[in-house]
Amino acid sequence: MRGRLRELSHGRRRSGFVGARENPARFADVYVEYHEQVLRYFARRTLDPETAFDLMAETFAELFAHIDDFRGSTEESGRAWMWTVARHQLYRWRERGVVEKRSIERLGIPIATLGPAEYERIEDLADLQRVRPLLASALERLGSEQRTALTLRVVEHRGYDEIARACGASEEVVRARVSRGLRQLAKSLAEDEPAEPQELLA
Amino acid sequence: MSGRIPPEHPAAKSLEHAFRSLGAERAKERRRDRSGYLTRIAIAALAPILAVAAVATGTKVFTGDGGAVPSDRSGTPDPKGEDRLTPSARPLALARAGDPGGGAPWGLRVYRSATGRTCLAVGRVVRGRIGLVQSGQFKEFPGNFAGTCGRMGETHFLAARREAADGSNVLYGAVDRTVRHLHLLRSATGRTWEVEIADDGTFIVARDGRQAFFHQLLIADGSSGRTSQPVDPT
Repeated sequence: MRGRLRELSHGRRRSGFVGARENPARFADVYVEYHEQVLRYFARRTLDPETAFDLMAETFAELFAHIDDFRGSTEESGRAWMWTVARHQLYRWRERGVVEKRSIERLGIPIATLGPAEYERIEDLADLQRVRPLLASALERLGSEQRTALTLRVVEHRGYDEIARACGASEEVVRARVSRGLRQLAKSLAEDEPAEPQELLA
Repeated sequence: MSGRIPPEHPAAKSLEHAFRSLGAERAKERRRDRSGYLTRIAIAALAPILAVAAVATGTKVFTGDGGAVPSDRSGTPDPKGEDRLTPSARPLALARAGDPGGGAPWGLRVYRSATGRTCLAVGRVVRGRIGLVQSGQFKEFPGNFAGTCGRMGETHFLAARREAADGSNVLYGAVDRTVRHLHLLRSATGRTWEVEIADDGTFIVARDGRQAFFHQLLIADGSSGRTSQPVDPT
């Protein structure tokens, strides 16, 4: 009761980025609130669930590592900061071809393997149907196994278990084939990307 | 809010747990720093009063004459004086660690107590001598300095930790001949740090801050298998 009264006397408890700066224990709430938006941003640009997840994880690790440096006073400024960090992560990934995990490693954050449902959820966020028009030219550059896997997944929208049976390979192998094919496709998409991504306005 | 990530998304959920744990740890660290800051303010306010009182009573507090510091009990109780370093001080051990605050490096002296225990005396190394730095003055350990003593026993290593007044946190020790590899593990996150073992089997890790070894395990691997010991379980 005393704590509650003290809280009221100091005004409303702050949430979001400003609240996390005041009390880092609340940063996890910021992550829960925004991680899916950031994941969608990366999934649409990388078309690869694992890369998208790693980029999202590094973005939040960097935000957490520098939460003391955040100078904004509104949630809007916090979101703007978050998208700036996310955008830089994407640029660095495109430049170097690998996800930089500097903050993840510095903080010692373990990255768990994506669960099957989680993997497919990130694919949904990537909205693969959007890339179908570009698929024909991408397919021409792929080997037959990758081409089959990508066609069944993106064009015919079949499940990984079904594709695995059709190809006579394990689900992991099929996922890897689809993933490689989509990464090539992502490079083509980068050239057509709008200057100001829609997510930045979220 | 924590219930919003479904359990079938294990990677996202695990990241949430990591941020909750790291956030709680950092919040706790801030509270400690804040209380340390208040303590420092209180000390700063009291210091002039103490100095005046010391001068008034004719003691030699703050004389800064560079002499030896009084015997410092950094280790286990030693009522019979069995663990004291003999006047014919042994040479310094090879392990060194840079000071995180930019001061003189850390080193140690290893010797055998009267009862056959292994003893470790850690301190700052200046011009090949080991001691303490107080008020900017280096003071070599006296001959009757008592270190931290113990037996290697089943762990095959002996380790101790010292939190210096300036905020340095030093983990130091020695391993026996069976140990080939030493590392620190933060069990909550799985992060590991290699600990370098000098040629004479000694080691020192100096970090900054009271929580530098918080919830970490020191793990030794060698021909006798793997052994471990919590460094800072609080």
